[in-house]
Amino acid sequence: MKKPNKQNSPQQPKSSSSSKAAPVAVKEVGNEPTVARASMPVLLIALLVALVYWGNMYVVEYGGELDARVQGPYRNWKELESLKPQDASAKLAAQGAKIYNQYCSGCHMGDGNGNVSSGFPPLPGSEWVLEKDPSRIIRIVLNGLGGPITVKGKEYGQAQMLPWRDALKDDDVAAVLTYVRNAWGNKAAAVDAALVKQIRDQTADKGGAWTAEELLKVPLKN
Amino acid sequence: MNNGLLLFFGIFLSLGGSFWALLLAPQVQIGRAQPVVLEATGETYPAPRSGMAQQGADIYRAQGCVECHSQQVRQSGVNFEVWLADSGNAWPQLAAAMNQLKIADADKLITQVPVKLVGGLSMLEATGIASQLTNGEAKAQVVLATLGSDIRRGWGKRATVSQDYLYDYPVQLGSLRVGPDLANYGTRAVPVALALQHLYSPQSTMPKSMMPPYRYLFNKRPVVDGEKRAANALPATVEPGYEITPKPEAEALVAYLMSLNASAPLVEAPVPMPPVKSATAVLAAPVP
Repeated sequence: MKKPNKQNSPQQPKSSSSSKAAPVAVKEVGNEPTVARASMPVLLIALLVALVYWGNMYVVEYGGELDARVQGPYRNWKELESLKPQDASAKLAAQGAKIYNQYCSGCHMGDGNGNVSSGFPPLPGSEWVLEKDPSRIIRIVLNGLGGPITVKGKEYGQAQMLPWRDALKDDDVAAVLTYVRNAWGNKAAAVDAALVKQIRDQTADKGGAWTAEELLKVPLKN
Repeated sequence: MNNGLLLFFGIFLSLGGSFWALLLAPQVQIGRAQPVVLEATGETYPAPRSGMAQQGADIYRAQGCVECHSQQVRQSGVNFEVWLADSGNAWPQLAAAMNQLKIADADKLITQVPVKLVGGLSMLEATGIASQLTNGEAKAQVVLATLGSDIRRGWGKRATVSQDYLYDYPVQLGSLRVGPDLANYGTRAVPVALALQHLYSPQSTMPKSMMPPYRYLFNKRPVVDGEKRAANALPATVEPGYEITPKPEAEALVAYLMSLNASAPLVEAPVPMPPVKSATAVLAAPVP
């Protein structure tokens, strides 16, 4: 509105020179001017689609899964959870806890105390479990144990422990033993999966379960 | 205007959409944030500022400190280090294991626990190395390391997060860094007297400082020889012959600066926690 109509202004010599466009007489207009519908340029549609796609990807990438607790350089809550300080043996013990509850707690019970009347020996404070060199208990887990065994000065006899050689992998055995050696007030070093593998190979042709006497002959390195 | 309704809805949608995404959604997410209890220490974080520090926040705002100082630490990511927390009793075996992992100076490092062995690892690599070195009594530990230029400059140990600004109004994040970042000023153990002197005459404490002096936050009067200076006066060397004492504004500003501390270990912003030397480790170390 404020712009002077160039075509009608006589002060502008340049515009008047374009004689092709004849001066338009202002007709009387009855209605408001209207706009006809026109199709959108394909390029603009493509640009919009690309923009929306980019925007969405940006939110997916940096939105922290829309979790308010996720900020800074972190991508999602799971990543943050995984950063909590924990040493290697704590991780191993956490894995071991799952295995214990699945395979061992049936006889040794959740609190590790076993069942005296059924002859399942306790694990907390057991000298077998807390032995610095875990090579005897690794053998017990791999092949099972039969016959009488003395734990904490008390004899347990009639029960038979099953072999877990085929059910548990090396790191599972290491994990569950690390857990048993550090749960219920126990405190002993973590068990290395490499040692489990070594003993598994050594005892590959051992048929049947161990007896306490046989185990006591296994040399301990210290 | 035959498409008025369409236009109206189009404009409404774009404005409403951005209003929702940029204002309402963040308000829903963090608008009702509360102080949290820190897992590590049991303290409540953040603690409200003292009255003096709260007044200082207003001085900070009035003096335009935010024009040149930011209060946000950026962090680009994390990686992991392996630290030897306890070298145990079997030193030869441990040294052999370390040599196998190509850790140089194993024999020397073992005697210096807790000590960083390797850095720049992924979580998986670090856990692998730590589990190989955690045998018997020896304990290796995976330690988080935060990365980024701000952290390299020593401006903080982690990225600042919304929780750090809970008691700030307005939040004075700042966008220019003519001066250093102040998000962790309170952790730098700057003596109050030195901070005050820096306000009065920045170049006297930091020769290359570009900070303008804030002399009007101080009272200045000539002293006769032998006259006692006020207890809170700046050192005589700042301007010989004059006694310069901070006005309450300067003291409040410094109290505010001392309250700046964004170093608490939060779940959303973990800080590196290398192992500390324990008494048992000292006692258990064998005599070589």
